Amino acid sequence: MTRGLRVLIAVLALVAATVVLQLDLRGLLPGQVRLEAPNTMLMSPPSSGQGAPGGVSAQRPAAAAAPNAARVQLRTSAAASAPDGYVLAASVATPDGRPAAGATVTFYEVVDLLGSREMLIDSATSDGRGNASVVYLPARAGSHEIVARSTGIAKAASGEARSTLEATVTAKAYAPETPSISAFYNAVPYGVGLVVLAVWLLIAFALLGTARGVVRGARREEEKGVIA
Amino acid sequence: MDRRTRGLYIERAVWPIGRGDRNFWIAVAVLGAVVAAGVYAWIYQVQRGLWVTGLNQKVSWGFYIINCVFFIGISYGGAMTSAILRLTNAKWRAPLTRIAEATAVAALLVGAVYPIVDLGRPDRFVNIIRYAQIGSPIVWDVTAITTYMIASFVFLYLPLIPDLAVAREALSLSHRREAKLLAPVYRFLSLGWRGRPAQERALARGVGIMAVLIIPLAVSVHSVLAWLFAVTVRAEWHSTIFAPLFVLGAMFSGVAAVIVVIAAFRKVYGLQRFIEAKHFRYLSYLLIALGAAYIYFMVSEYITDGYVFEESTTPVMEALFTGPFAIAFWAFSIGGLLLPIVIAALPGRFPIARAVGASGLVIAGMWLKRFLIVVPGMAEPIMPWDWGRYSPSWVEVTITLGSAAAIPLMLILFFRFFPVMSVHELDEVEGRYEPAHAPLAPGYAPLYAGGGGDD
Amino acid sequence: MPIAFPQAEAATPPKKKRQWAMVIDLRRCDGCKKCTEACQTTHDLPQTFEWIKVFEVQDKQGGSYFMPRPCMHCENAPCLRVCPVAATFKTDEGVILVDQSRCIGCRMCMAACPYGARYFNFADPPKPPSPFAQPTPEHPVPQIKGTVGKCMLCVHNTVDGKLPACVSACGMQALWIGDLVEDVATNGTDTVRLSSLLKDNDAFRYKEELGTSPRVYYIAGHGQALQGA
Repeated sequence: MTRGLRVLIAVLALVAATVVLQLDLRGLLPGQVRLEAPNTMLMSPPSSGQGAPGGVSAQRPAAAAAPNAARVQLRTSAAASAPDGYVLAASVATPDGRPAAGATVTFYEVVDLLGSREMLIDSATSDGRGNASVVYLPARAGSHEIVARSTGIAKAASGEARSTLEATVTAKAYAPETPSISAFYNAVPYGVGLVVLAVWLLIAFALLGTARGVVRGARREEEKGVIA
Repeated sequence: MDRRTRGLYIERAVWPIGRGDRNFWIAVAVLGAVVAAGVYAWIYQVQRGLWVTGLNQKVSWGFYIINCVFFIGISYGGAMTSAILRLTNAKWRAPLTRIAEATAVAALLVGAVYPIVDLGRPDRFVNIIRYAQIGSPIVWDVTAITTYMIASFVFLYLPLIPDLAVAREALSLSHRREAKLLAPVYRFLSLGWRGRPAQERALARGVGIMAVLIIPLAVSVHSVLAWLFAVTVRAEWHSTIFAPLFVLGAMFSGVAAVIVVIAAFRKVYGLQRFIEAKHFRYLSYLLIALGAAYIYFMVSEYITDGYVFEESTTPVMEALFTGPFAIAFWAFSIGGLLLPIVIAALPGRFPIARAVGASGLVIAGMWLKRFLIVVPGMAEPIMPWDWGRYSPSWVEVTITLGSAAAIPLMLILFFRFFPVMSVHELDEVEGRYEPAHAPLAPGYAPLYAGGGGDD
Repeated sequence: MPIAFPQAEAATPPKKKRQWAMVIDLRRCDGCKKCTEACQTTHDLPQTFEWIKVFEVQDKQGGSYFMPRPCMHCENAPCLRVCPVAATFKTDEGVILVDQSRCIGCRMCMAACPYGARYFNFADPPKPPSPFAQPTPEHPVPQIKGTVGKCMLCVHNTVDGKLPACVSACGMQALWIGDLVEDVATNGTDTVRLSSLLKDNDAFRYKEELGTSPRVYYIAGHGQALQGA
């Protein structure tokens, strides 16, 4: 099964699900998610040939959105290459379903930094078809929970959508700043240690050698004295 | 040198051994009282903590670090004087080397205590050995000072061996109780010295090694002390010239101290006949040369830093030249550097008084110079907006005075037990040494009967 | 030298390895010194101990700004190198700590620190609230007389998932704590990408020319609105 086909099936399934949801909960949960495949969807996977990761993950509507909230749907691209990163694409619609142009869509990642926080990724303004996208290259591999939130639509409260990004390509990882000559520094003490040892041996030789010479000299003389 | 002079030399060198006259006891009492006051101040500080000093968060090094550098510097001068005179085979050195070597050891013992006095937790001093981190200048210091201290003791002891034999013989003539107690000690320490050729060879080799070794060791000690400052990023300290400047400053102050100590013992022990004006003149030449070199180093340092108005160094320059430290700086530059050189260099009368006067100025000036290195370097604003302040408390002043008094006290006590002038060295430079036939030269004869002549 | 956080490991088994960093937004700092006060309260320090000290800097044009100065937690820390007994050490999360039970009080580190971030305990610290308090490098409360202490980035807080005292005390949200590995920083209210925060605002490190590679970044200015965050 090709990757495209699988994605298509998944997309259709999700569309079906959202339709059902919309029917059942009309007016109660207007911030539902509609899927739209951004251009990047057509990007081929990285040539490394890793198994195609599921580009689309479970998306869910915001739990508690206002009745007149804008409709937002979010999609994360499945593949990326540094330094560009993954495309996070959202499409925004007004509460009655028309594409909203000129809305500000802000993208966050849910992180755990001394508590759960929403880290600002970037924001973009939606075009005439209600599409807004940003490029994100995460700092670490693994799954990232992404939130898209729209503001600036007339007579609509902010709406949001969530998705998960499975990142395999990451930004340059943190590396400690170590001066290049530190390896040389680490070798120096051994050389110095040898010199110190040599000095101690020399002092010991000067003291003990002299003492031995003097004591022996005295003995030899005594022996000589006896012989004489 | 004729036989009578030689006999007098030996008599002068050994007469105070084991004796105490009134002046001796007065000196010991006065110096001992000052030392005791210093020890009391130290105990006071250990019991309460370093808040009893004038040190603070900005200026966290003060008198103790100054004194450490100062006293070890003096020690260095003593060792270098003796080693240089030996290695260059200066004929006039015989009456001087012992005093110089003893000064080196006494000053070193005082200087080496100061890093411990300075510690916030002196009880944990042993941690330096337990957890020694070899990249730390403090560990370098402890290693270098320990090595140098052992070497100074050996350098003092080895040339003393033949003189201990002289003292042993001299004491054997005496019937005083002290002599009875001391004689076995000298017998043990002199290792059965008889002046045999094999003994002379062994001694010459040992002293030769130590005379050569003590110079790089002393250089290393003072370089390491300088690096304690120079490896930091503080503008006044972070300087490539620091190690040579410290070495030179140490020699300068050390030679000055040796001149003062020699003049004192010359007077008290009646050595005028052997330590003459020429000795002081020669030592003055050494002092002048070192002082001139020090001026050169200082000019080199300040012109490099001061020519460009770098933001890091300019505040320190200002503070030294015209700011709060200007009085101390110019007092040192003129009174402690230029003036002594002029006084010592002028030809004319009173060579000894002039040498001693110049030396006194140099010693005071070099202490001031260490103050000008440590305190402005610490007070200088590293976060560039606040200067530190420092004024020492009575504890620091008392400990400083006590430690300064400890040096003459140790020297007085030492020379009540060991010959103040080297007899063996006199024989060496005077060429009177005839081991095969006269292990004890004829000049000894009037002093004691029965010595030598056993061949 | 690795340090163990036994309780923390028990609480959150797959603990992330952080590389802590701090960002100080000088545009927002109004010099109220709430950070200093919070630090002193948290660590039972006397008034003179300003582990995070707020300087009022006068520039040559007559302007002024406030500059809080914590320990920079340099990657290439001068204090760490000069310590004779390795009482100062770096955790595997990049925080420079002091083991006050080993420190001999030589104050070499104070001479070496280019930021004046270290404080010597000349006297006994103010009485701690708990008589059973056992100071550790990770929680040096109370301080030990005769040894050196400094900002330790509140590792006792971060290990419990809490913000450092100064960061949470800052009403201006001028102090950010971040993780270089996950590339995220928070000032308690906003959370941003650390690298973007630094790049977009031209952050600098104080005394960069010394090669100490501090973990504390500054954003220059005084009073301007914060952009990019």
